[in-house]
Amino acid sequence: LLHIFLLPLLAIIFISVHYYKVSREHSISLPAAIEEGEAPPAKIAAAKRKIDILPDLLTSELMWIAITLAGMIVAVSFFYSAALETHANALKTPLHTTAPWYFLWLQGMLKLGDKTWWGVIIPTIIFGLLFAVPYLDPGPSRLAKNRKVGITVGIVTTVLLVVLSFMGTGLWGVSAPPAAEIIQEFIPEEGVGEIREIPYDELFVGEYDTNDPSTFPGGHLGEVLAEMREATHRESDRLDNNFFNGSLIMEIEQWLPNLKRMTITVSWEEVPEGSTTDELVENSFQKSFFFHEDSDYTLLE
Amino acid sequence: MIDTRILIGLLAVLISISSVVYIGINEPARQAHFKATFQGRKIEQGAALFTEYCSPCHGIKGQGIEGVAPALNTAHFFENRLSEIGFQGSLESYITLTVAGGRPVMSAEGPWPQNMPTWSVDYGGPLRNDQIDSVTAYIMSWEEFAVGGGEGGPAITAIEGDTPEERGESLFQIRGCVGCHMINGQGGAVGPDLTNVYSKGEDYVHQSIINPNAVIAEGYQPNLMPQTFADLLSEQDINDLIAYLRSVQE
Repeated sequence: LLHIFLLPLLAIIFISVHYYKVSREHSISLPAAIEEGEAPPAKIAAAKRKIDILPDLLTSELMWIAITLAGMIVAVSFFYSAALETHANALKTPLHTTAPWYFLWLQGMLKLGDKTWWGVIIPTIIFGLLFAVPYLDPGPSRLAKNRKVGITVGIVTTVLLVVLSFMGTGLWGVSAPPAAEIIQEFIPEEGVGEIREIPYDELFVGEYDTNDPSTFPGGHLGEVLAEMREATHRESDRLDNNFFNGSLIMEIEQWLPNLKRMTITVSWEEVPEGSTTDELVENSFQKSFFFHEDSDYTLLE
Repeated sequence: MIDTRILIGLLAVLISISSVVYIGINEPARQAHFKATFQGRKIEQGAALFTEYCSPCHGIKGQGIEGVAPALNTAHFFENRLSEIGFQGSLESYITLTVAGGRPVMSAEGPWPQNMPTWSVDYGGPLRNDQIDSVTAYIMSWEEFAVGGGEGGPAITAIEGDTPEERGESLFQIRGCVGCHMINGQGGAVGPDLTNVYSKGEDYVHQSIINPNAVIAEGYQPNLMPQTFADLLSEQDINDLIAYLRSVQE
């Protein structure tokens, strides 16, 4: 009821009032430099000339509509695939699930501390301040040099939102155990990932150990294994994640004549929880995936 | 002289129309290809689900486990099963139905004393219906291999291991114990967790394997566990299982 009736109704009322005021009371404004007489007189005269709606304005508008439409149709026809993925499982959310892009900044703030403060109170204050900017920085002039406060607030807010949006993605502030992160990097729980991009025929049956690059096959699989080897080294070199001497073994079996099974086993050494010595204990994490010869994942990109 | 804006606009409209026509001509082929890829991914998903939920009883590749659950990858299953039981629908619907509802009562005849649990969320199970469709797609994908000389019946995987504990662990898997009992967080939840069952004593464990109804753990129903292990397992097997249970206690 709120989202389907009340909010659209409010939006219709506000937008109607806004349009009425723009069209009847203030009319459409020209760029500030022209309206406030700072541009050369010839330019002002050219900008203020009047044209006929029929046929001049209509022809222009129709041309731009046709061009935009053609561009969009070509874009969605040849460069974009709205792929059908598997059903979502509400009981098991994939690793690094994020809000839609326009809420990432809010998700980034939630990572900073208390949910009520960062999720409700501070965003309300920020929006309150943004709404207040026109009243804090009044004045009739629209020239950039007379609007320093407003423009500064705009730039700061934009930068802040970009930074917060980055913080909202899975790349910042959340980390699953390194072993799970390495697997997620190459074969994510949602989406495609580098391993699923490898053609079925190039998933050569065998066992590959990142400790021994000579076991790597050629082609895409070899390249991905080399990258996985680097990822295990990268995670091992970090000192803050309790993941030392990491490596992984990828085993590919011909499960059925048209189905292959890949088992990835990440092994590492760690300081056990509650341990007071520097003694390292071995640990491992295993995950299996199936690949069917018909499942062309490049379609999902 | 025509306005250039009109010419550009017309050109743009022509580009739009030819794009749509081109897509329209290729659409049936694209859809067919997409359908095949979707089916492929469905089978992948079904394979993962089958390995997780079905393989403890039906075997890792659907070859069945003697005394626990029948083979599903046999030519017999794909060719004769429906006429055998007089089912009117398709084999696909038969599989979906059976996975969704399970076997609420014990099969009257045959060597399968264990009830198949219910899997669909509609009937209180853990799987959503699209997941059951994926499992069905995976089982149906065996047909072409099964009919052309698939394995002919329930195959018992060889017991692996040198020590009693290792053999016991192997038995725990291939005899299907893991389908219902959990050890250290791995396994089913139909029966009690066995991680620390050895603390109740060797005689208790022995008795519970060969005569499961002698003592029923609190919160569980009698007759859920097959009563046939006394015949299926040798004394050596039972001792190996006990050795395994001794080794896992915390």
